[in-house]
Amino acid sequence: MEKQVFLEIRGVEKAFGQGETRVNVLQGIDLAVYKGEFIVLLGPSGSGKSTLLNIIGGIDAPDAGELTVGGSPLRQMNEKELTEYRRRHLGYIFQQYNLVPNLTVRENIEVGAYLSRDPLDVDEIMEVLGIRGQQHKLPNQLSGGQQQRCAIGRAVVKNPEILLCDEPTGALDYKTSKDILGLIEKVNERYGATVVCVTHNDAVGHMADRVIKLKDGRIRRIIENETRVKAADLEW
Amino acid sequence: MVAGFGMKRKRQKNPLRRRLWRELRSDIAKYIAVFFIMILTIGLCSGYQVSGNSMVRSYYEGFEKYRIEDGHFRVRDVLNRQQKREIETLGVKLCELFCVPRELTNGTHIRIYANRYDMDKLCLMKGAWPEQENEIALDRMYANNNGILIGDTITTQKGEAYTVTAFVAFPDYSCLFENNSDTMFDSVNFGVAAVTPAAFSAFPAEETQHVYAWTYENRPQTEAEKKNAGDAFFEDLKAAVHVEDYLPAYLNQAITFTIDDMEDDNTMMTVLCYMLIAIIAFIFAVTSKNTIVREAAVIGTLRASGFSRGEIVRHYLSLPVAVSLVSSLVGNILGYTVFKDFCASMYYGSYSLFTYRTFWTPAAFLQTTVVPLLLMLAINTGVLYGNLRKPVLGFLRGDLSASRNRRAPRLPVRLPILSRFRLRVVLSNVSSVAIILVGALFANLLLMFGMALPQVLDHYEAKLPENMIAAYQYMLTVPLSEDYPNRFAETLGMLSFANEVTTENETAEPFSAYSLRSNDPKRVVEDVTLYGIRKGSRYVSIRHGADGVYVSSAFAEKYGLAVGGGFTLYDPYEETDYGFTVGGIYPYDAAVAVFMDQEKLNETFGLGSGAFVGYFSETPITDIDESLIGAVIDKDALSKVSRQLKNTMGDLMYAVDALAVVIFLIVVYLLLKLIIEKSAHTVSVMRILGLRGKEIGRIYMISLSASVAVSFVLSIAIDYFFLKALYKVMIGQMMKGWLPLDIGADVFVKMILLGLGAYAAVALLEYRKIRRIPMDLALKTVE
Ligand SMILES: Nc1ncnc2c1ncn2[C@@H]1O[C@H](COP(=O)(O)OP(=O)(O)O)[C@@H](O)[C@H]1O
Ligand SMILES: [Mg+2]
Repeated sequence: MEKQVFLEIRGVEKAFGQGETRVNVLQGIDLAVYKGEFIVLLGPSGSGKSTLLNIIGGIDAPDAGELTVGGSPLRQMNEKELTEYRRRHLGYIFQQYNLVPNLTVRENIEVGAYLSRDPLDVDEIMEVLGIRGQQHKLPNQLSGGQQQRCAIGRAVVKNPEILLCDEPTGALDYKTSKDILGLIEKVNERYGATVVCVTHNDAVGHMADRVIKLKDGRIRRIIENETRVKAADLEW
Repeated sequence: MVAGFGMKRKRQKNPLRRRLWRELRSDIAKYIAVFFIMILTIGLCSGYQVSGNSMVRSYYEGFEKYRIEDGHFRVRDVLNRQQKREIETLGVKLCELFCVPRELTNGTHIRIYANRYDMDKLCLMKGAWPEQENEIALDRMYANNNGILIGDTITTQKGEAYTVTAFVAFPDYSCLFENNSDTMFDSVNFGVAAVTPAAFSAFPAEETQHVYAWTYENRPQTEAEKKNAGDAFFEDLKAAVHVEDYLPAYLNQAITFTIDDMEDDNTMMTVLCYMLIAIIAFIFAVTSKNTIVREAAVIGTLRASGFSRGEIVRHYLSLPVAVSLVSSLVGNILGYTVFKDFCASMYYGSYSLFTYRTFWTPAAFLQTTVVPLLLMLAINTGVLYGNLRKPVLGFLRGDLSASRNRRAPRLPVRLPILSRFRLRVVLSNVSSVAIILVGALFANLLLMFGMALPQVLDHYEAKLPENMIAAYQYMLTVPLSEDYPNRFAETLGMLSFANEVTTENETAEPFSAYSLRSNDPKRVVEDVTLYGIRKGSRYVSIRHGADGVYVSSAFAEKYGLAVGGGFTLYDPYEETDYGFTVGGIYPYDAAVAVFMDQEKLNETFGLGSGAFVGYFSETPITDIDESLIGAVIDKDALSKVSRQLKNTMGDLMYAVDALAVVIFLIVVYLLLKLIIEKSAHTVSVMRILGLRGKEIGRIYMISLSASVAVSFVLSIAIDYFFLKALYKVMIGQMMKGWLPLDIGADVFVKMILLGLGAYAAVALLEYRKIRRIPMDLALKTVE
C-alpha cells in the first residue's frame, strides 16, 4: 500500500531569547510523517523535542520553515484556525497529565469527546483503558498511572488523526510505563491514529515504525525499524 | 582572645524574604485593591472615632466651659429677689434665659435671647459679637439651612430688622428642637439667636417668656442621679413658685439628642469597621490558601529541607501583616487629617455644635490598628496552620486539594458536559463564593439602608395627607393661672375652656387628650398622646364599647404590639403607671398615639365629663383666639421629621451608597481574580486541547456570574429581613415617633442594577484575563 504523507515538516527553525542569551533550539528540521505511522522522537534533555512537538501541535510557531498537516499549511493559520486545528485533529498527552482537577475521570474524558465531531464511546474507552471503576473519582484520588490513562482517554476519545505524546511515562514507574506505552500502541493500531511520541528513553524507540534522533536542534539519525516490538516486551 | 573565636556567626537572613518583594510586585493589583479598601475602611473608622470622640469629649468639657444648664423652667412673671433666693437655697444656681419667639419674613421661627455671660454661654463660630441694638448672632446651622450670610439683614413679622454679625452655637441647642415634645428637630424652620442685653430689654414685657436655667451646686453624674435630682428639685420648686414648664437637661432633646446620636454612631461605626476588616481578613486567608496550593511544591521542598512549619507560616503571614500594618498607619494618618474633618463636617451639617478640640484617642488608635492587625493575624494563622498540617509528601507531589477520600458529588450524566463543567467550577469555589456572599450581605445592607432611607422619608411625606386624622388638629391652651382648677391640664398645658373656645366651623370636632410617657428601657423615652374620641366621630372610627384601647399603627409597629397584647405607660407628674390592653390598631403612622372613648379618657384621668382639649377639623378654624391655640398639627408639622432627616442624611446616604458599591466591587474583584488565578492552569490546558476562547470564558464566566448573581439576590433577601429588624431597634433607640419602613420595588431594582453593573465591570476585566492566559503554562513541567 502506498504510504501517504500526513505531516510534512520542512526547514523548521526556532530560537528562544535575544542577543547573548539567544539559543537556537531547532536548526532546520525536515521530516515527513506518514499516516498511521508511529514515530518516536528521541534525544537528550534540552535537545528541542518538546519544542518541535509544540510546533507540530500548533501551540508554538516556528521562526522559519513550513509545516503541513493533512494538506493544510499551519503557517497561514491564525489563532482561531489553530484552535480549530487542535480541536479537530489533535490528541495531546503530557508528562504531567494536565487533567482538570475539579472534573471526574469520566468528565475529563467527556471534555475530549465534546471537542470531536465523531467521538468514540466514552464507556468503551474507559473499559479499554481499565479505568471504568474509577470514573467518578477526581484526578487527585488516582495514582499517576491511572491519571495518565485518563489523559490518554481524553486524547483518544476524540478519535484524533494525530496523537502527540510528550514524555508520557516520564513520571511513572517501570511497570506502569509499559502499560501506558501499550495503550498508546493500541490506539495506534486499533484506531489508526498517527502517533508522535517524545521520549529520552532509547528502549521506547523499539516500538516505533521510525525513530528520529534529535540532538542540538538537528536530526542526527532516522532509524527505520523492520519490526515493531510490542510495548509489553520492551526492557530497560 | 583569638580573633573570631567565640564570635557568633552573623545570622543568615531568611532567604525566603526576597520572594516577598517579588510576590508583591507580581500581584500588585491585588495588593493595591486590598490596600485601598483597608485604608478607606481604617481611615473612615479612625476619622469617625477621632472626630466622634473629640466631639463627645469637647461636648462634655463644654458642660463646664460653657456652663451648660442642668435644666430650665418657665414661669409667668419675672421672679422677684425673694423668690429667687428661696429657690437658690434648694441647692441650685439660677440664671435668666428670657427669650422672645419671633416669626421671620421667610416664614421660619426663631427664639431670640439676650447674649449669655453666665450660663449656657454661646460659642462664637464666625464673625463678631453683636454690639449695636440692631445686630444679632444667629445659630450657624439655622443660618446655613436658610442661606443667611453674615452681613445679611433678617426681618421679623413684627418689623424688627437685624444685621447678622455672627454665627454662634448655643450649648443648650446643639440640636434645634423647637419643642421638646417634637418627634424630630427642625434646623430649617427653627433657629435661635442672640442680641445684646440692651437690645433684648427693648422687647415688650408681655411677649417675653420668663425662662430660668439652673445648675445644681453638686452636679449629678449618672443618669439615675440626674433623674433623682431633677425629680426632687421639681417637687421643691412647685412648692415655691407656679411653674408653667419644667425641663431638666437630661430630658431635653435639644441637649441630649446630639450626644446620644454621636455615641450611637460611634458604636455602629466600630461594628461596621470590624465587619469590613473581617471581610478583608477572609480575603487574605483565601489568598494565602491559594498561594499555598500554588506553591505546594516549593513549600514541600522547603519543609523537606528543614524549614519548620512556623517559619513557613511566618513567611506567608508577613505580606498580609505588612499590608495591614502599613494601611492602618496610613489609614490612621488620613483619619486624623482628612477623614476627621470629613466626619466632623457631617456632624456640623446636622447639629449646632460648638467648636471642638482634637483629642488623641488611644482607644480609637487601638481599634483601628491593633484590632485589625490581630484579626488579620488570627484568621491567617488559622488558615495557614490548618493547611500546612498536611503531610510534607503531599506538598512535594503538589497535591493538596482536600482529602483524598472526599468524593466529588455526582452530577447527572445526561447534563451536557460543559454544564457539568460549569457546576464543577462553582462547586470547587464555594469558599470564594461564600465570601462573595458575605461581602454582598454587608455591602447590600449598606446600600439598602442608603437607598431605603430617602424613600422612607418620601413615602412618609407622600402618604401623610391620607394618613392624617384630620387636615388640622388644634390643641387648645389657656393662659395658666394660680386659680386654675385642674392640675392635670396645668402640667399638660392644655385645657378645655368650653365657653371661650367654641367654633362655628362645621367640620370641627372636639376631642380630649392626655399625655403619658413611655418607659421602655430599650427605647428612647417619648410622650404618647392619648386621644379621647367622641362617639360617632367623623375622624376616628373606633368601637367605643370595646375592651382595651386602640393604638396607632406606628405605636404597634414600633413597640411590636398586637391586638390582645398589653403595654404600660407612665405618668411623670402623677408618678403612676397605667396599664392598657390593645383592643385594636388604628391606621395612623404619623405618631405614637392611643385612641379611646372620650368619656373613658376623661374619667380615667379625671378631666371631668365632657372635657375636651382640642379640635379635629377639615378646614382651618378661624374663630378661636390665637392665644388660646397651643399647637396646630397639620401636614407641615407632621412632615418635620422627614424634612429634617432629609436635610441631615441626604448627602450622607449617597456616601453610604458609594461606599457600599466600592466594597462590593473590591470584594468581587479580589475573589474573581483569585478564582481565575486558581484556574489558570486548567484554562491553559483547555486552550491546548482546542477549546475556543469563548467557550472557556463562558465555562468560567457563566458559572461565576450565576453564583455571584445568586449570592447577590440572596443577600438582598437576607438583608431585607435583617434591615427590618435592625430598623425597628434603631428607630426605637434613636428617635421618638415612627417612620414606617416600606421599601419600594425600585430600590431592589436599583440595587440589582448597581450590583450587576459593578460585577459586569469586574467580570469583563477578568474575562479578558482568562482569554490571555498563555498555553505554555500547562507545558512547563514542574522541575
Ligand atoms: N519558552 C521558552 N523560552 C526560552 N527557552 C526555552 C523555551 N522553551 C524551551 N526553551 C529552551 O529550549 C531548549 C529545548 O527545550 P525543550 O524543547 O523543552 O527540550 P526537550 O524537550 O528536548 O528537553 C532548552 O534549552 C530550553 O531551555
Ligand atoms: Mg521536553
